[in-house]
Parts: sequence; structure tokens; C-alpha cells
Amino acid sequence: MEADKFQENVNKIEKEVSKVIVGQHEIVRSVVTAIILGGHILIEGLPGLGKTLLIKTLGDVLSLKFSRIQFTPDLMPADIIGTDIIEESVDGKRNFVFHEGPVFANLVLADEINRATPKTQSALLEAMQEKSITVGDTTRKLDEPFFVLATQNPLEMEGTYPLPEAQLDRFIFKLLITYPSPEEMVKIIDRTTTEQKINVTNVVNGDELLLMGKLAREIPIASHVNEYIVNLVLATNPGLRQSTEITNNYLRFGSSPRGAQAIALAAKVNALLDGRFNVSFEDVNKVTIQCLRHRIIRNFEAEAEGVTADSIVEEIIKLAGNLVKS
Amino acid sequence: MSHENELKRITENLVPYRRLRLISKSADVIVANLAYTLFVIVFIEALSFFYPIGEKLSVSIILVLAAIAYSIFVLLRTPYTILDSARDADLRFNLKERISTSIEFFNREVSENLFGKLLNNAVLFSQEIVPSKGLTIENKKNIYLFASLLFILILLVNLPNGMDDYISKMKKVEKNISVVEKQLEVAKKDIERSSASSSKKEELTKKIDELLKEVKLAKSNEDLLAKLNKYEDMLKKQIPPTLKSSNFAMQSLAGSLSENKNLANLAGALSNKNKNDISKALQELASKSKSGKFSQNDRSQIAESMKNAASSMAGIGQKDLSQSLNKLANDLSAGNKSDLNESINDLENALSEMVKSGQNEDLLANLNKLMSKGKQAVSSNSNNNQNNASAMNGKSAQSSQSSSQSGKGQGGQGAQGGQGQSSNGQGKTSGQGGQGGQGGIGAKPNANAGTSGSVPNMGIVDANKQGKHGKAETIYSPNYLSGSGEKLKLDGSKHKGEETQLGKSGTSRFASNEAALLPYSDVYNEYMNFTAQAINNGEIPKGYEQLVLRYFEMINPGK
Repeated sequence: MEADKFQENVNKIEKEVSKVIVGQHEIVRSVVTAIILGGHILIEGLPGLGKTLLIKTLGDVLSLKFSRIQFTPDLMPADIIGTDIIEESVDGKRNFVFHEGPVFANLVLADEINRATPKTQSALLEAMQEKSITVGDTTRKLDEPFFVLATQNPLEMEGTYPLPEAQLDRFIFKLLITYPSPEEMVKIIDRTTTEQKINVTNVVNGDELLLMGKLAREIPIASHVNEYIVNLVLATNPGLRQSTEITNNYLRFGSSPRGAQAIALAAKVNALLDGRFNVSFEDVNKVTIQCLRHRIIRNFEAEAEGVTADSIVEEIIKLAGNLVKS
Repeated sequence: MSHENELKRITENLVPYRRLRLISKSADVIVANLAYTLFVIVFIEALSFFYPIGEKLSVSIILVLAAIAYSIFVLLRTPYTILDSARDADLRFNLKERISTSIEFFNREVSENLFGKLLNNAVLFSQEIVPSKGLTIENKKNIYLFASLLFILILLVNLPNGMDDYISKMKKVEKNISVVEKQLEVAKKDIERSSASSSKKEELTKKIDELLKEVKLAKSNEDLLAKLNKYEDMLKKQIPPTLKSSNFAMQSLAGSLSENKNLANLAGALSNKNKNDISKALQELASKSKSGKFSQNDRSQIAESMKNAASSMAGIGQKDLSQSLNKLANDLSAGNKSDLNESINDLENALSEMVKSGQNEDLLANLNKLMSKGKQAVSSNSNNNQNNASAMNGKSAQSSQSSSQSGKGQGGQGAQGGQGQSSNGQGKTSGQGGQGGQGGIGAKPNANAGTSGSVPNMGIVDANKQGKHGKAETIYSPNYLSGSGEKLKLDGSKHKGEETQLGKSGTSRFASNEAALLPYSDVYNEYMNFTAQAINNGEIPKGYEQLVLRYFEMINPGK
């Protein structure tokens, strides 16, 4: 695939999505980036901000099989991945037949993922990492592209089960959906309170998405930019040479190497979308927060003082940027 | 597909920038290292106000050279490659890492399609590299630090005329310190060799060591001179006034006793300050007296000589010696053999103490001279005391002037004139000064007298010719009383009872009309020693001896 085609496809996707979703351009761009890279996204935001609608719209635009799982405390793993059930054949013989769960789709919306028990949450682990499902002694490959978009509600935390770190690490980005501006709100009302139905068209298919992902991975990263990414990630780990003061003061654990991989990949897509064929420091800085904010674990002091993960990562980027300039 | 052309175009745009950046970075490194070095120098300089540090200049020069050497080492160790300059240019001109990625991936396996586009993109953007923009000062803080420290350093060393003066000043101080140290080492050796008492030697050695320590810490010539002056004063306080000194007493005693041929040996031993000879002479005297080898007349004459000497000693405060002499004189006169031994022993002990005391005085006088020599050396080298230095080395005598005051016909001054007459060996124009009362012009020696001549010029002018207006007069320096008198020509005008300005020529003994170079006490001591010697040698008539001594008593600075 040509670079021009890559940009064109992304523009088409964003244009179609914008027919339904008002504003949230950065979120849309990040979601598209993650889909291109075959990554998964965790979206956190208040109810009613269009999280589900965004994923549903993307499914339509990308002509991908879409499924939605509403996570509840009584949801069982089999409800997600499927189960063997006894079926009686026409000759009267009874056999176990596997019935696929909703995870067998290209786009899976795991709505309010933190309301399910850890056992059920972890049922998604293999699917997200290996893109396959094992039931009994049979492993079944999921269709490519496979993309999980999980949402969680920061309110009503009672009776919820925060996602374990191992699972959080499998999301390439964590996106925070913010409240729309007044102008956007007006547009939302206009679009959603009339009988007029908005139809989106399929502009990119799954195969094209895979090619786009392949092209993005070919973008070169200069060694000093790579070193910069590594330093950023190491700087989130307390007690290392690269650690900053804010790291040592407010973090318990930093990002794993998956964080560095996520940054590098996202920066490549960002460079392509910017019309460049190499990764710059700017690309890296632009994607770092969304790649690292869910990979760092704050300590008690940070929570007590209201120091957010975003502010910590921003500070680290600032310090690392100064080092590059010097 | 080769992309050599694209790479060539990129590097063509990059190389001039790289060249200028190399210069700029080198300058940055050198300035940074010099700034830190300067910080150390300023620290040393500041520290030296509290704990003076010798050889500061050498240390500073070594530090600066080390900083430059270290800078070169650092620059050689961290080469500035073309890739480094590409990264640098990317950042400086916001090229979003296009150039550096292109160069780095040139020989690596990457997607041909993408890399071609990347190179074309880089070629395009490399045109934005403007070499002159690379000349910005990167580490401004180092420049500011360097400038600030330099300013502080200049303030610290108080250098209105720049580093040359500072270096010159420091060199002079260091040289002077070295000269003084040598003098003090000589002084220590002199102390070791001297016959003075061990306690005195120990005390003086200790003081010299203290002075050596202080001298090493001197920050300027003035400081050095002040330290030397302090020790010189301390030494002078230990030297008794000439009339009270043991040496003077011994010389006077020797002079008195030498008139009697039977006491010639004793007088000679006293003159030589030799204890053994003194003891021997006294034992000989006792033995001859006991064995009756002396006639009654001899004994009377010896006793008479001793009584005269005793009287003379009493006059200069040597009461113990006077008593011993009187007792021995009485015993000799009375022919009292039984008490003679005791008298001889008493006198021997008294004379022995005097010899020891005289040796201490000699040592102190010698040290004093060394101290003066050290001061002279410092003054000569001192830039701030050029006039003093020229006066001291006596080279400006031709153009110098000396102010003298005309005498007012005082008897004492007349006596001085007489001194000039009686002691003159060669001077034929010396008048009959001293007799004329009013006419006796003791042209008082100016304190500016060149110190290269250790003996002062008394400047005694012919009394009979004092009224001749504008005529050159011939005077004789008293230090040439032995006969090698040197003529000094004085030109000038004189008005009776008023001050007279005298110009002179043909000698190097007079200095310029600058401030006094020797303290009054120095001049006094030298004059006094000279006078005492003259009295001892019988060069001053008996009748005038007491007069002269009284005069010196009156002008004694310690009085």
C-alpha cells in the first residue's frame, strides 16, 4: 500500500465517523490508529458520551463484524467466548458442538468491563493477546483484524472490579472521553432528536486495514528516537537511573516494555498521518500519554495529593524533552 | 536502487553547518572548562585573603593549561560525526528527524518505497539548514559564568592595569620573598656559628623561623617590608645603646688599660674579646704581682690605670666592672696578696660576662644588618618604591640633591668640625672647625644618604670658609678617617642663620631629595659606633671625649 492511500483511507474513515460522532477528533484518530495497529483500547468516560456509538459506527464504516458484550457481575466467561453444547443430529446421535460467543467478531465492544468479575475479565486475556480462544483442548483462531474496545465508567465504582495490571497492559491506549463543548452539544441534539437517520458507508475493509498496519510498521525510527522512547518508559520506573523526581515520589510501578512498543507503533502511524516517512520526537510525545497513562501505578501519596497519571507522564515528557534539546 | 545522489545533496547542505557547529562546540567546551577553572582560581584568590597561598600564579597558569588540555581531550574523545550534526540540525531547524533518519537508514534494509520518499523529503528539508544559524551560543550560562568570574577575579586582585601588572607584581613579590628567605637562612647560619650564648642563639633562631613563616605568606612588597620592619624593631630593642653596650665598655676599658705597658696584654685580649686571653692576662698579672716582679712604682701605675678605667666604666654604667677594677687596684696598690686571687677572679668573671654579652650584641648587630639588607633588596625590587630604590642603590647621585641645615655656631657642631680636622688624613682644605663657635657648620647629614654605603656621611664642612657665598666647599666623610678621605664638593648659597640648600657632585653617597630611607635610630647607631671606635682609637682628644659622649647621649633616639 502506498502512503498516500494510507492517509486517504484514514481520512475517509474519520469523515464517515464524523457523520455520527460529533467532535472527539483526537479520540477518533486514536481509535483508528489502534485499529490499524491491531491494538485494543480502553475508553474511560461518563455515560452518554458516545463510547458505544463510536465503536458501532466504526464497525459499520470498516465493514467489520461487530459484537457488543455488556459486562455485569453475573457474566460468565462462557458468555463471552462461547461453550460446547449437546446437539442431537438427525440420526439421533448426540454430539458436543461449540457455539461461538460474542468474542468471535472483528470489533468487540466490552461495555463497562470493570463490572464483571476478574474471572470473566480474564476470559478476554487470551483473545486480546493471542487473538485465539481455547476451550477445553481446542484452540480456535479469531478472525483478523480483531479489536477490543473496552469501556469503563469512572462513576458508581461500588461493586466494580478494577482491571488487573496484566490486563490493562494489553490495551495499547487508554483514552479519556471528555465532555463535548457547547457547540458540539448543540450538534449532538440536532442529530439525535430527529427522525432523520444517518447512514454511514463502508469505506475500508478488513484486508485494507491489515495492509495499512503493515505499512505503518515499515516506517523507520532513528536510533536516537528509539533511545528517547526507551528513556521515557524507563523514566516511569522508580529507582532507575532514568527515573525523575516525580517518578520516585509518586509512582509504585512504571510501564512495561509493552509501553515502549505501543509508543513506537503509535508514533509510526502518527508520522504517516502527518505525511512523513520517519518517526520524530514530536510523534513520540504526541502518543506517549495515551500509551502510558494506564501502565503506571501511582502510590498513595499521588492519590492523596490528587496527582494524576497524565500529569506525571507530562512531566516526564517535559524533562526528557529538555534532555534531548541539551 | 541507489540513492547516492539524494544522500550527496543532503550532506552538501549539512557539511557547512557541521563545520561551524564543530567550531562553536569546541569554543563552548573550552569556555566551559575555562569557566570552571576560573572558578577554582577565584576560589584560591579569595582563600588567599584569609590563608595566603604562595605560588598562586604558577598554580593558576597550570590550571588554565590543564583546562585547555582537558578540553582538547574531551573534543577528541567525543567526535562530532555527520550523523551527530544531522541530529543536531533536525532539532535546531525543526526538521522532525528527517535528515538523521535518512542518513542512519541509508545502508539498512528498509522498504524501498518508503525510504525513497523519506530521502526525497529529507533532500527538500535539508535546504532549510542555514549554517550561520548554528553559530548561536549554546551554553550561554558558561559565557556568563566565565565573564562574571573574570570580573570577580579582577576585582579580587585589584588590577586596574590588567594582568601584566598583576603577573609582574606577583613575580616581584615572589622574588623578594625568595631573596629575604635567603638572607634569613644566612642569618640562621650566622647564629649557629656565632659564639653567643646558646639560649640567645636558640631564641634568635626561633624568631628567625617565625619570620620565615610570615615572610612566605607576604602578599605584597609593602606587606613584606612591614613584616621585616617589625622584626627589625624587635632586634633593635634587644641591642643596647652604644654607650651602654658591653662592646663599647670593653673597647673603652681596653683603651684605658692600653696606656699602661703592664696591662697591654689584658687590653689586647679585651680588644679581641677573647676570654682565654683575658684569663691568661689576669693570671699573669696576679702571678707577677705575687712573685714581686712588679716594682712599687709599677703597682702604683697599674692601680692608677685601673682606677681610671674603673672611673670610666662607672661613667658608662658598668658599676660591677668598676667595683671589680677598684678592688683589684686597691689590692695591687696595698700589695695584699691574700685577697689578690679573689679580686682577680671577680674581675675575670665580670669580664667574662661582658665578653659573652658583647658576643650577643655582635650577633644582634649582624642580624640587624642582614635585616636591613633584606629590606633594601625588597625596596629595590618594589615597583611602588622606585624613587626609594634609586636612592638606595646610589646611582642617581649625579642629579640628586641633599638638603642640609646650616649650623648656628653651636659648640657641639664646632666640635664636629674639629673632628673632621683631626681625623682627616688627606683632606688639605679642612679648616680649623670647632674653634670658631659660630662658624662651626655641622652640615647635618641628610637622612636620604644612600644606604649602599653602610656608614653615614656626616657632611662636616670647613668652618672657616662658611661665609663664602656660592663657593664649592670640600668636606670629608668621617668613615674615611683612616686616611682614605674622599672629597665631596658642595655647591650652593648660604645665608647666615638660615637654611642652606647644598647641591653636590662627584659622589654617589648622596641620594635624591626623596624621603628618608633609613630610620633615625639606624643612622644614630652607625654614627655612635663610629664615634665610639674613634674614641677608643684615641682619635678624639681626651678633652672632647666626654663632650662627644654627652652629645650622643642627648640625641639618643631611645632616650
